[in-house]
Amino acid sequence: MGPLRRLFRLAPRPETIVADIDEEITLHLELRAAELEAQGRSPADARAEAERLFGEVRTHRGSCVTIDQERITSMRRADAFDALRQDLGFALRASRRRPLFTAAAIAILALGIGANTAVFSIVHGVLLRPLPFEEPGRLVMVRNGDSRGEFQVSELERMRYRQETGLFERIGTWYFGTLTISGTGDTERVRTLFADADALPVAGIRPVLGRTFTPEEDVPGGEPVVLVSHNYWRTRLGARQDVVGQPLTVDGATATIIGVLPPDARLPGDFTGARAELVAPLSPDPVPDPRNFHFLSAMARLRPGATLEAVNARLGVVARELVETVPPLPDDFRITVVPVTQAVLGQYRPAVLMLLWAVGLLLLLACANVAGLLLAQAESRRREFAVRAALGAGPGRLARQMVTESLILGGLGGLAGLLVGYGALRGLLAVSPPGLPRVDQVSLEPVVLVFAVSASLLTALLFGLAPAAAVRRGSGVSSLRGEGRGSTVGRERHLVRRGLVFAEIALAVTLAAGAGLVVRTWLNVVKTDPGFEVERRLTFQLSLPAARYETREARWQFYQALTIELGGVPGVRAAGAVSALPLAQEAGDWGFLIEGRPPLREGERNPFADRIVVTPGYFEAMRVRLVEGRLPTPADDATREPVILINEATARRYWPEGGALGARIRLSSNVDTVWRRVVGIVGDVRSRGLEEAARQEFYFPHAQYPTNPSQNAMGTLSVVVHAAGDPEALTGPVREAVRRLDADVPLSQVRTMDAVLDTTLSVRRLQLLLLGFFALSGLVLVAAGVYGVVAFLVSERAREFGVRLALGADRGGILRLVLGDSVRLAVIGVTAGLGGALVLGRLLQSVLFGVRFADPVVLSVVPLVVLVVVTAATVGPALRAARTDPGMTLKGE
Amino acid sequence: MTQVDLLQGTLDLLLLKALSWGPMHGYEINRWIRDTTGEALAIEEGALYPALHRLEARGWVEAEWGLTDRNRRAKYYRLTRAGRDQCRREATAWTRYAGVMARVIEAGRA
Repeated sequence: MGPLRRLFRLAPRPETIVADIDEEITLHLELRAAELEAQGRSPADARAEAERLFGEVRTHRGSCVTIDQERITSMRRADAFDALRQDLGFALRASRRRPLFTAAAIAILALGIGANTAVFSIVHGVLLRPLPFEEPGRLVMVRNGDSRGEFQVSELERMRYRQETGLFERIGTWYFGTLTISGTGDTERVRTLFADADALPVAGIRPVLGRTFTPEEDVPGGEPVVLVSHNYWRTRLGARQDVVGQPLTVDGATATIIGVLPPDARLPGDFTGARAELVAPLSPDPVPDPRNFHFLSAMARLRPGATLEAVNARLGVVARELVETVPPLPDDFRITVVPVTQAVLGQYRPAVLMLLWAVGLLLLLACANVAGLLLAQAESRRREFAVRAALGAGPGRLARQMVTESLILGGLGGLAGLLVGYGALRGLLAVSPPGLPRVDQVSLEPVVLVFAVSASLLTALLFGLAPAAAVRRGSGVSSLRGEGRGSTVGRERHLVRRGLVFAEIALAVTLAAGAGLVVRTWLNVVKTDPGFEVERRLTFQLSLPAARYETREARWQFYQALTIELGGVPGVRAAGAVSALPLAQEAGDWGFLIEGRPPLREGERNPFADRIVVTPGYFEAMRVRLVEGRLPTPADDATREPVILINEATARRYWPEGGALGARIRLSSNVDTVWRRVVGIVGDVRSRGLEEAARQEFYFPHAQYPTNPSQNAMGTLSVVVHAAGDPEALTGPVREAVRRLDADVPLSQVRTMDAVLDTTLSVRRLQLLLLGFFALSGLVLVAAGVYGVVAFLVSERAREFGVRLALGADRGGILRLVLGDSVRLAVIGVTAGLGGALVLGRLLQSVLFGVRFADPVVLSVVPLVVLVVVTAATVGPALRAARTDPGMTLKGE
Repeated sequence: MTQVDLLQGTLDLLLLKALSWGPMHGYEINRWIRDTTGEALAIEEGALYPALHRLEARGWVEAEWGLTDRNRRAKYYRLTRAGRDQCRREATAWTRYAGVMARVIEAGRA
């Protein structure tokens, strides 16, 4: 047997094995019997003797069957390996022959899979992962509300809810604040969780070291005890095992550390932004404040079997009761419970899920595109398949080879996709708005890797099926002869593909237009003048401990000394402090009266402006423009005439004809009776963000601020330092300067104004990047889709082109023919896309800035770009069409 | 004539040797062995077939269906190259062994 025939020998089927063995044995017995007959025996005798000589037929037959079956099985296995190796070889050779196509296919798949991997990581890390509570299904947040919205729980209400033992197995309350820790290295202010004795137990959070509070410690004047977060224990306390029982200086007093929390321990309110490092007792007053301030969060564990409807119904009764007995509560006061998962994650679910749908759609389109490319390929490889079929490979075999090729593409695409996904995730996390919960814990976890691998295999099968089926149908003699083209089935498929490309073009135009609008918005936002200089500014917050800085004078003197001290630091050009840092903190508005104005009419509102306290040097440090008059100086103290500054917005609003300078105003609250003279008007500052117009503001010199019950307003200020060079380099010297004045005053929120501005732009940046990514992907897909369709078209019509060329058409004409066809499709698609762009723009209008949704620049540039992309993708196959050799095509391939 | 029992493990050598003379089907192999040994070996004739199938599984013989001169369908076995090598090896080993045994038996007391 020659090697070629051996190559194509197939393993025999099981039924044949037994039949063959029977035939072998039967022949032997017959011939042996014949031999014995020839020696003179009777036929029956000969037969019997032959059988006797043979031995146990059944046994020998059985042995042969077993031996043969085993041989067949191992042959089959070897065949399968051989076939696989062959397929791999074919697939790799095929990929090498078309490097551009392979690269394009892998790139498209990597894009789709990578995007999905990144987004799925976020979906998993933020939404799907269970919250770090025991049995979160039974936990609910208890919220108060009225017709205007929701608000938190008061101490009085807390006591009342604790009585509802029929509903709640346990209920815990807490709020977040800040405490100063000193004594262990730097004095610092840390975010603190003030929790009652039930708050951590209700969540099922158990300390890894020590214990939580007892009810006895949770009273006003109780033992000063604290728990520390896992992070604080690791970074500031050296992760020592003996830390329980150690003292910690908190707000100037000594407290004892009684426990360390586990690494993932958080309560609702702590899932975004900076995490609490310290836990202190809530110490609720047994006699609650009758003013009924609402500042507590409450979480309860429902009794087994309690339904939300029953609980809400009962709470309706409780609410009615409270409205009767607690005067400050509004009449439409209500109490609701919300499952904790929904409370923490609910508002992000729609946006994140929409993102997931979007990338899912992207992956599907990517698959469709690669399938289209493969189909276009398969058509041009028809001859190759026909030859292999003639050599004995069945249609099943060929289909298997196509699937192997698809799996390789899918596998490589998946690997590349993982890389893209990792990069995309890093990028997404870098720009994600700080408000996204648990985003600090998102990473490429094993779950996500499994997802990525499954996605790539699934996509491989999805886009591999189409060409495999095509090859199955098309293989055989008919394709050698070049028949089977122009069949109705082929035309249907072609229509579907053209429809797909049309949809992609429309979608790409829509997305690109959206991206264009967002880009213009971004540019508008970024070039908006905030009203002060952002570069080279270092800022930090100082909190003077109330105990040692009780008087206004003491506080003012500290900040004055600080300004002088900072002025002496090399590299500092100016320094000043403010009560509300622009772009970071909000100032409250206060009403005021203007001397000499007629009293208010019915329904008229008092003039008002945001109240801001500044130290001398602040406006200089921020380079805020002085429009008229003068800036505050150290001479504006408690002994001199009370003065005040206003900004342009206030001046425009209340002195439209001018004359604000020199006017006298007085705060309309009963606290202040002093008339203050306006000595300066400064330029507008966009305090609430670059996109919001400047608010009306007035500025009090620090030393002349009216005494009023909220003492801390003057003790805690944000200091701004104008640096000659790199602001961050001044961090050390500035800390030193503060320490020289008072070692126990903590610095917090040390950052540059650039960073502050950056944070306000994070949502915009995310919008820009996301839409930009989708728009770009859309364009890539359009290019691939158009290329696939046109390539297929060209190969289909090769004969037609040959005829035309033979009949005298010039090559330029063929080129124009193919290009024209493409452009026509593109124009229709673009028109549809423009419609979609207007719709999308309308939807986006509320979030655009300085751009109309039907922006002419965007709407003219985008279609042009898409048309260019389509033309570029068509050029390759069009040139190939123009270079058709009429001789070859007319001969029939 | 008296027959000797077939020694364990020597059937393979017999079959390989038989086939070294050319392709044969099962009955022909049996005939050849009987003729060559003068029917001196007591072999259960059916045992040939499992042995042949085993040789095929090991790749020392190949099988192909053909026609006898009476136009009967028969499974012809043929030595592969590996089978030829194996035959040579086993024959050499056997001869050597037989020689050693002979020396032992004929040796006088020392």
